[in-house]
Amino acid sequence: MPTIKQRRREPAERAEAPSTPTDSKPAQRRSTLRRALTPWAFLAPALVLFAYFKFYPIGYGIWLSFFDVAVFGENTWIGLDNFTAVFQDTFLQQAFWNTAVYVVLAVGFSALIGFMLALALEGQAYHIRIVRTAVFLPAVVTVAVVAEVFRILYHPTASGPLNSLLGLIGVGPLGFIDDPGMSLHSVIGMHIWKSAPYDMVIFIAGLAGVDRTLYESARVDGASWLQRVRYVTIPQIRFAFTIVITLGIIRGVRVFPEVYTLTGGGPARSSEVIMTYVYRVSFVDFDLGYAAALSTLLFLLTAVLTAAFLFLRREKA
Amino acid sequence: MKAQTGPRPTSSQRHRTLTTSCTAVLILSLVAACGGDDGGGDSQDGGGNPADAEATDEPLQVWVRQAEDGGLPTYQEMADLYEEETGQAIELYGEVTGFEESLIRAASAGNLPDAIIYDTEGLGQLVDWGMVQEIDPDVLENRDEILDLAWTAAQGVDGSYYAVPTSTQAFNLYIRSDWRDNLGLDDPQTWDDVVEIARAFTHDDPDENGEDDTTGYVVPGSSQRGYASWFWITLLWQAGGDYFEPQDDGTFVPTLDTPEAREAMQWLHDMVFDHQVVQPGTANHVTADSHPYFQSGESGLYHTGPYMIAGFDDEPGQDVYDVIEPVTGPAGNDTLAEGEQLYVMTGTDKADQALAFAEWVASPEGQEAGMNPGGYSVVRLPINENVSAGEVYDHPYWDVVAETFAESGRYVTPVPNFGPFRQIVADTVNIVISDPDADIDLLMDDLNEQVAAELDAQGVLAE
Amino acid sequence: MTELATRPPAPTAGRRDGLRQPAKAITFQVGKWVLIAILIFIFVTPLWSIVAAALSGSAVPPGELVTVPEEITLSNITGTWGSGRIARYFFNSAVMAGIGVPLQVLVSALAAYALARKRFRGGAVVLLLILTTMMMPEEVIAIPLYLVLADVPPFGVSLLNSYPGLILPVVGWAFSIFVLVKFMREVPIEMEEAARIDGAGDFAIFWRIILPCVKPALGTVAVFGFLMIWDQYLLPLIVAEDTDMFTLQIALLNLRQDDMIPITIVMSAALLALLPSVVVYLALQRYFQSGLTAGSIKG
Repeated sequence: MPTIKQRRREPAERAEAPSTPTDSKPAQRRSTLRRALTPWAFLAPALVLFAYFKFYPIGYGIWLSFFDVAVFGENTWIGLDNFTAVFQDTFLQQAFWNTAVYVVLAVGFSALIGFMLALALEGQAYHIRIVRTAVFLPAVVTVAVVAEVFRILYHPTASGPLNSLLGLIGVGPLGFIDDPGMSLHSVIGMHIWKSAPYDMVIFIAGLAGVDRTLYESARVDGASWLQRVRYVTIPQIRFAFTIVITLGIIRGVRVFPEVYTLTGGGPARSSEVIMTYVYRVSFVDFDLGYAAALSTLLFLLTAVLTAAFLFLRREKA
Repeated sequence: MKAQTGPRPTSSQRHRTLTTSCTAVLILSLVAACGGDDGGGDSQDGGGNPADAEATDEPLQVWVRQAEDGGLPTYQEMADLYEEETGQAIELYGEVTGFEESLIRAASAGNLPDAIIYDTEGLGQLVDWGMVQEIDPDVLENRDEILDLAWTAAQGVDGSYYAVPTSTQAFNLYIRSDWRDNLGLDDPQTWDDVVEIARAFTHDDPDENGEDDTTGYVVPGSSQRGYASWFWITLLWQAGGDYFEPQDDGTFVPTLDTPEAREAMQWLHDMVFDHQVVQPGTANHVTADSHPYFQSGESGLYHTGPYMIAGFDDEPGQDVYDVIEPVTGPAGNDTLAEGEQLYVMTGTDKADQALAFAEWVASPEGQEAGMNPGGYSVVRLPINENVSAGEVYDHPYWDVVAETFAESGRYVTPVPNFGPFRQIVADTVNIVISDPDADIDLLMDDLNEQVAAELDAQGVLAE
Repeated sequence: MTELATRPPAPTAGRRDGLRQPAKAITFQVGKWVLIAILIFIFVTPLWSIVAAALSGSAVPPGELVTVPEEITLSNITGTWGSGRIARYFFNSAVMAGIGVPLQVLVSALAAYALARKRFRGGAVVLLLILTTMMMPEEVIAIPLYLVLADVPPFGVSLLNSYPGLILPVVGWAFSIFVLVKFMREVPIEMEEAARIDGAGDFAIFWRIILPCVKPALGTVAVFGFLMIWDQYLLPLIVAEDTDMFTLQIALLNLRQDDMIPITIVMSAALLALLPSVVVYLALQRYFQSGLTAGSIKG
């Protein structure tokens, strides 16, 4: 992203100082060690906390996946049995494909709509701020409560709120979450409603850094609004897309409360995702070893997807 | 806190394949192993308290599956009363969400409480984990005052006792009496009557408002947490079926492919799709979503528990609904009974104190303290024969419930772990009520195989 | 939506469209308000129904969106917390968020500075490792986390049933580190070099140059950090050994799981629990765009 580097504004007043790094060599040599340690000093607080509360517990979780875990008593080492069991688990396979559909649609549309919201609602004007706050509200409401409302919106009779609206244009009534063919998409719909505003906030923060002067020159050049967005805005906030999509994938793969509270995975397992299944293995069957194995696979899947995405972004950028 | 420093007992097998005898051995060894550990109940301070004899000075730690905004205050009142009378302090911890998860975590660090008050159907699981102790009912002075039926829920697959009953309830049919009278109908006696009344409630404008806005029959059909099968099991029993049949050697034969089971499933399917008398959206409804259908006057028949009586008295109103005996199916009128009981945890050094508390909770005084008319009752139907629910609640419907429990109440068949069965069956019920073209024969065959596989995993599948 | 393109880089953003194109401006104004109305309808109606249901005195019929509360009453809201424990739960949630969010932002910013602005061996791996901590389902790490909290090696202290136990595990959060890394990488190197020539050390550069440049991102991660901490339910359950350490979210979850509690009560409780989030958002939202004003000085 070469353009962005050159025109980034300086908030500090002393940025005017001439930047000719000439006489810093002795200092460099003296502080080689210090320089090597500096990044680690900055990282130390985070790494200590992660080590205790993330790395160790996660490592332990992965370790457990090689055991038949006794809830109370000694675990039994069973090697890869938990992992080989995955391949015979037809239940899981459906959950896997549902999750894939979920991630693609939910992340894609949330990012798209979030970006459009950001374009429409960035700015400091009073009314814009009010609307922006209103639009952001879905992001702060607990999923379970949102689900309560969507359950009403999705009421499957002709008198249901959404069906009433659709009825005005002669569509429906649809079954929504009551229809095994639509339930997954209905959950995704709720997810987008809740996370598009979330994404919007990140895009707005990103847009704050976009150089307005480039708009002007593009406009002078006769570029249309769409062209300006395409060739001026998007390249400058590509990193915001990276953030939104990376985090979207990570959250999407292990989506749980949205599905659990709205449909519980049903009807007829039509909206079952990996995590609702993991939850069931953990807290209905209490097969903690198998749950750990499923989680480990989920972990690896997410890591590969994320790494692939970040790698592709880097190639492109 | 000295997590995991105490000697943890070992089991030589996968816990899921433990037979009951092994479980008993495990429990004994745990009792021995943990007796000198940190006492299991000490969760407040660090430093691996050595077990000591003067334990009565310490409070008895009891966990209950109740919330601060629900039944916990009622339990607190009971605990205070108990302390006043006996001098034994009780330290309560209440949680609804993730109660089992908290138990597991506490077990992993040797921090189990002394006792818990928990669902009857969780008994097999607790025993299978080795988390609870076998008890001798005869040490309770009021053993014989406690209803025999309630005692059956305290028994494990091996016939031994693992808990003391504290509360119970049975499911009844709740009917809109005003609708029934408007249409000149009688209370239903049989499955066919239910169909007829449900159809009339759906199509004949029972509330006489001139609009087609009612349905006949409420079904909490979500598979989440097994609600669908918790509802369906009564139908299954009334048809003469069950999930499995216990054998003399402690094993089980799965029986969901029997004609009885198929009939029970077909009947529910027909209610949804042929007669179309079930509330819309049933496939996603847990009980909390289902109650409003009865409460708001959208539906007129509901098979549910007496814990809703207070709510139904508010809405739709006591004068417009009746609680009636469960109907008779092809094979009888059994109805689901469920309750709560006090379990003494493995590794506690206060087993005697825990049992003394249980004895008090099961006494007329304890039972009445737990029944809280107008508030939140943690004892629903009393399990003590000397306590009358109708009198304590001053409500005739509770007499009906008590009678139903005595005559038709039935707890689930004890297995090592009932939870997975509840979930597996709920999944299939959920499919049946969400798919008009469901092939019930095929689904029941498949379900039976799943049940067989789970029995096998629990080590109790008959040859 | 053409406003964005036609806006001159001036600080008076409010009336930036100017009156240059009167004919267009009218259609633009109309279109803008129609768009705003639609957005409000889509995003606010469902939420309004929560408020309406919470205020309603009568039971909500299934499948009916409450748009006008009937028999308006505050008894749901006051009755929700009849146990009088609300203050305690609220206090715990507030302590958790009030200390947790600033610490989280600070620790994340420090880490992000190293990862974004320093080239060093292992930096990429560390970032990836940090990211992976978001990929393991929380439920699976509950038991080991409990064991760590019960006996923090090598100190042998227990953080169970304590505020540090509630707070420390949420201070390290990959989300905010990742967002801040991405934003900090966008700060031009020239600014840093200029300061370095002036003799500024790393911490001074971090504090005086980098942090002000990423103010919008700091606001963003603070808001999301607050939401994340405010929504925690598993951690308080793990840490709490008696109900005195419960938070609002646990009380809410318990309410929802209890069949006997009507949905209107649950909605009121939810409403109370989300108010602080809105307040925090309002308080922090000016930071989201602080970069704009900084930019316009230059323009």
